[in-house]
Amino acid sequence: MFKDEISPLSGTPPNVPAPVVKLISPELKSQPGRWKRTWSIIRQNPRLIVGGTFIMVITILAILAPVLPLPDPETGISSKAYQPPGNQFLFGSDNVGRDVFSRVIWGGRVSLSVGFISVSIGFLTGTSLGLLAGYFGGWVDLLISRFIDALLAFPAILLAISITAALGPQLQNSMIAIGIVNIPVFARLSRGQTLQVKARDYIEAARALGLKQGNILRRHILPNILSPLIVQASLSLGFAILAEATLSFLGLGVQPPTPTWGFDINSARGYLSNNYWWMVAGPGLAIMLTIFSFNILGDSIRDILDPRTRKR
Amino acid sequence: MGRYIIRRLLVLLPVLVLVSIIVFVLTRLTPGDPIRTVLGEEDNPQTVAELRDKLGLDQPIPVQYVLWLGRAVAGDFGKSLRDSQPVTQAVFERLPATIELGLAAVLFSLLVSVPLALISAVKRNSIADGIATTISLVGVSIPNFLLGIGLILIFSYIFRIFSPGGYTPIGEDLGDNLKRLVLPSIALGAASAAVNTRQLRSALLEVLSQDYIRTARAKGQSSMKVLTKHALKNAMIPLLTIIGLQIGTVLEGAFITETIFSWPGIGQLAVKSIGNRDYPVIQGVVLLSAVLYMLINLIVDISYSLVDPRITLGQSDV
Repeated sequence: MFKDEISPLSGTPPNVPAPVVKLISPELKSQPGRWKRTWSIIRQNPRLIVGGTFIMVITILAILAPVLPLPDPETGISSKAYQPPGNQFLFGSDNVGRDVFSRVIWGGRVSLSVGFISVSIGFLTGTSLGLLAGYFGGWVDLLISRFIDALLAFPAILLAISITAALGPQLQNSMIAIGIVNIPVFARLSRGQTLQVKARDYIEAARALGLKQGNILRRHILPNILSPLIVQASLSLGFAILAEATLSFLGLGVQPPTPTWGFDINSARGYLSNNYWWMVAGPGLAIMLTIFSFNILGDSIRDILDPRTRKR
Repeated sequence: MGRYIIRRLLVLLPVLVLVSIIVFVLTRLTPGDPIRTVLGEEDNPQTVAELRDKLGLDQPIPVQYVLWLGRAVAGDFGKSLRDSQPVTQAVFERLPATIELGLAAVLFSLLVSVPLALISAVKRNSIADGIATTISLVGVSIPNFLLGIGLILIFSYIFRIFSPGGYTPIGEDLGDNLKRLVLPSIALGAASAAVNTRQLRSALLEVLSQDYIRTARAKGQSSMKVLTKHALKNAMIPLLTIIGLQIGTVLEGAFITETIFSWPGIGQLAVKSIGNRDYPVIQGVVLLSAVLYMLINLIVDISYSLVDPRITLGQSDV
């Protein structure tokens, strides 16, 4: 797992040139072998296939929404309101005659973009803060850690609600809010990992060779702490989509008539007593399956990367 | 133990100051003039100036913060801009409903998660384990507002067993209170139940592979005794952490669940206040929730040593 540790000369920095690299076993460098191994791991993990496939399908549909032959998600035909699922409307139609399926696909664009961008914000900011805190220690660590503690003091969704309420209900504000909420988990994780990795011999050797601190952080510490962060990113994506749906549900996300899964569920609440269940079912299933897929994907990646849980 | 608690409380102080700054800044960033919230359409400059002075809004922001913090420490979060009710009073009036819902949700999550995790861990890799694991994964993936709406649809509109929302105080009619409590507590507790099941299963599997479990079995102890006397007790530490964190999750989930089920707790109060831009109430609720969340985490840390005497709360724990 620790990339630099493949060097057979323990304590030698990995960027030491040719002779050391030549000592590395050829099969480790062989691309076909690596692909074969990766494919074998994927085949042995049905959850990885299920989760990954669903995420791929929903992502492709969301990206291609503008070119797919879908009815306009924002305008409906009032005479065709409240149609149950059938040939004309795959997921039924809503109270103003809009196609629920079309709104689910278009809504996926919002949910997935908020998910990916907010997790990227959390990942980049949190990991950078954690790296700095863990590597430099002292007052830098104290300052960053207290800031992270302060963010962790808030229940996550409450913090996201408060930030969005403060910044205003807009797409980019949802991304910022959920991104900020994601910072602490990445910061904590990367700080802990950095503390472990910086005590290793090859970091000591890199320092002794006079490498700049930025170089050590970027080239030697970051690659070796990435695995758990990637697992966390996958799990955080599930949370981000849930948080976006919650914000939209409360009317704090993207504003209507733009379709979002959370807002559509909230709109459908008023029609539950009439048993128009399909207005909730479409966006509800989409949210549930997307979060479910990210969760099982995260779990599978963790199981693959962590030998202790591989057989559990 | 006493020294540890004092040390932890001292560490909490700077965090609390940071939390209060975040809360204050966030509410000040909120779009819209709070004066408009109170006065509506009235734009008499003198009235506006008087109210601005009265609310302290004419002071520089740092001065406003210090004044606000000073009052907050004394338990005075100001008055609601909507109905002039003191924030502390508004929060404490609604707190019992939130606590009742939260406790019911935690109870529901334990009643579901402990048996599911036990079955799952003991019958590892069986069909029962597969079903329990899938249930817990699905539970984690359903947002509580979606589950709440699904429960209302099924049990209130299709089978007409429970009311779709509302609250009856315990003192007024206990039966009706409990009946109205069922759906919101399931909606709120389901996600916690799912997380608890996963964590407890994992902890039980770890414990069941330990030597002392094999020794207990070798001594001829029954499976049930091994499970309840040795395994479950040792698997309690991660569960305790999770329960502590789940109280926080329940607290945040209450914001949504209370809104869906018209449950008059602090969550519903906060959501309404955000809609009304009633920032003294938002500040009060958010700050109190954060303080409560931190205290719960502290209590969880302290309770580790009570469950597992091997854990000593020394200097390195801070």
